[in-house]
Amino acid sequence: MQLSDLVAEKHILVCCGSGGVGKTTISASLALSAAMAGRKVLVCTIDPAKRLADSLGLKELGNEEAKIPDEAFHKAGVKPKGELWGMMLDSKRTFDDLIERISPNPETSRKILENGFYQNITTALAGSQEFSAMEKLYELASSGKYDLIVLDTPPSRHALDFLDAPSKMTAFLDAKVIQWVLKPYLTAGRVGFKFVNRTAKAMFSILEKATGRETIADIADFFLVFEGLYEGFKARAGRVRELMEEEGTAFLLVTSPQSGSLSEAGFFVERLEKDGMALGGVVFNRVHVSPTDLASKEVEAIGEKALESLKDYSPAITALVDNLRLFILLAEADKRAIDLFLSGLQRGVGSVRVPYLLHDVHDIASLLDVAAYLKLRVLRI
Amino acid sequence: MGIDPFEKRILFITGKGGVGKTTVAAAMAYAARDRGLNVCLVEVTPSPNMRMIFEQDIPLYKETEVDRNITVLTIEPFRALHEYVGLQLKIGGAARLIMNNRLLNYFLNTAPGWRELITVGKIWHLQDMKAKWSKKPRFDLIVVDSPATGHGLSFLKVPSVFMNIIKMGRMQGQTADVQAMLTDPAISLLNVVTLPEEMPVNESISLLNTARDELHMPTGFTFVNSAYSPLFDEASRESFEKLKEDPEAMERLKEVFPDNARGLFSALENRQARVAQSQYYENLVREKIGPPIVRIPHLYPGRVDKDGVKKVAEIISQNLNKDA
Repeated sequence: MQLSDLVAEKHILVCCGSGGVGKTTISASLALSAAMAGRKVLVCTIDPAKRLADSLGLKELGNEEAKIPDEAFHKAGVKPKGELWGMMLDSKRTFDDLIERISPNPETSRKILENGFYQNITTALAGSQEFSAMEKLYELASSGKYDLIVLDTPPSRHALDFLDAPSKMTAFLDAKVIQWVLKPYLTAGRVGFKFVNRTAKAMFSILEKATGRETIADIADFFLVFEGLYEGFKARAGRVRELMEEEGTAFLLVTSPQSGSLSEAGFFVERLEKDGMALGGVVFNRVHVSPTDLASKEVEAIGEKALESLKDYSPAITALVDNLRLFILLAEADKRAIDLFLSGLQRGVGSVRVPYLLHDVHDIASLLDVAAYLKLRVLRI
Repeated sequence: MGIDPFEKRILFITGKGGVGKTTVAAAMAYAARDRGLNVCLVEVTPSPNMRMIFEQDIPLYKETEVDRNITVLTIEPFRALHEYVGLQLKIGGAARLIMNNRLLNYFLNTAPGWRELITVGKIWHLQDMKAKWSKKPRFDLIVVDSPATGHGLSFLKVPSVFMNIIKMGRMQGQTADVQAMLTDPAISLLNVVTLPEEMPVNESISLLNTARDELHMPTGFTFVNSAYSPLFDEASRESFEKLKEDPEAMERLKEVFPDNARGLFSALENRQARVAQSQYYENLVREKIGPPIVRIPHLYPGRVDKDGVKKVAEIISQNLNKDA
């Protein structure tokens, strides 16, 4: 399937990849071209470049969606047939909203939102951003407001963190485990504690010794209140998961041709296949393109000829030829790495290469340029 | 004047993904080693680049001497926790029993935060370790190849988060020790690696702000990696100016190249654009972050190998001398 088909037909596109590969730019560009073609599109991003956010009018969005104003398009001399919406994800707000949604009453949600342990797990600790991105995606998708949602996943070292977030978070909050361990400890206090199994007892005495009793009480408090919400929480995480496997959802892998980024991308593809999720395509971003059809080896010989025939200018010729060789070598290295990666992919997975762009992408006009490299036809009106 | 990084005990090397953190961390290790220090190079997740640089497999959580006076340690949280429970809480044999507990493992597989905490705890332990039969430290300098920015900060933020969670007990005191280590300018120095491009530079600016204002960590060097230098020196510039004025020579040049020398000139344009981009962002770093800055020129091949790292180490050493 071509990228243009995905953009025209799918309902959710999830852009994954390790940090620093340009996911945000690619996501915005995909969303833009779908909007140009007439769809109502939302691009949900975590941390866009400030100038891109500014030029799209995404300045102070918080956790709300906003329509990209017409002026932003006017400046680029285009008019979308559809609509482009954008939002920046606020991890903590998404978490709080979810708690409020699944709480039976305001009293319960207040207790959780005020709990110190809860506040810490939702803000500062790894994985919470990934989890809330999935949650927000589900909420937006079930609202039915958009034809297409493009999700730019959080900048993590590992693209896989994103896939693991819901199950990890669900397992972490599993009420059964809490009942098993914490409840006897808490509700029965010291008296009931002796009935707790021996290793658990040893564990607790160490935990107490290590962290102080108050800490465990704080944690236990949270779990006791949360227990009633767990089923709702788990069911929701389950539906998020189902959404990922739906026909209308596709994953796009964004990677640079650098070895670190590619090896991470390889793990991600394996994982998607194992989990039965669809890899829609691969975008190789920041690819060096050779300035000529000549190979680096040919240039060496030609360079010597040039030096011979232009002896008077040898300092200039040497520098120019060295520079040409540098850019050819960079392109050749990228091509080798990409070809090797593609040979390991299933057939039928489309891929495109976006060259290394010297100017930064920070407005509609330059996003449209990227769309052209993505082989997305954009009708300019 | 200036900061001498080799007088510190721990150098954190942070930055956005793909900017060359591992290369710079390894180069700092070589630069320090060449000054006579015994260095431990710590990584928080096993990276293929580290293995490519030292051309060998580096097992998890095993101090591996990869070169004279350079030891690599890949911290693995479960192993570190095991060591901690055994050593620090002084329960020795019980450690295995507890670590094998199904329930505990279930928790550890899912609970957030403890990995980062135990990782920083292990770094504290490394700097506190003494050499055998002496009071001298086991390692003079610890260089930490931190995870990519997003996680890089949360990894350093975790001790203060846990200070809020843990209210009493032995771990509270130890977490406070770790936090004190991170904020002590005599011990720790947070350095950032960036490329001369928009996103990495902006992220470096905000990373350093957060490190200073929220984490109160001492900040040090900004490494601007892979900066393009102008193609021509004085002689070749002059020669090139003359060449452009000589139509006959230009014609001969085009004849030699099957593509009419189009590639040659488009490569020159590319180079000039890359140089302009590099200079723009180097200036931005100078203006928004300020010294000390170490500029590392773009080196081809961009492959990470030991020779490349040693070259970078030399560049760093020269720059540091210049600064001092």
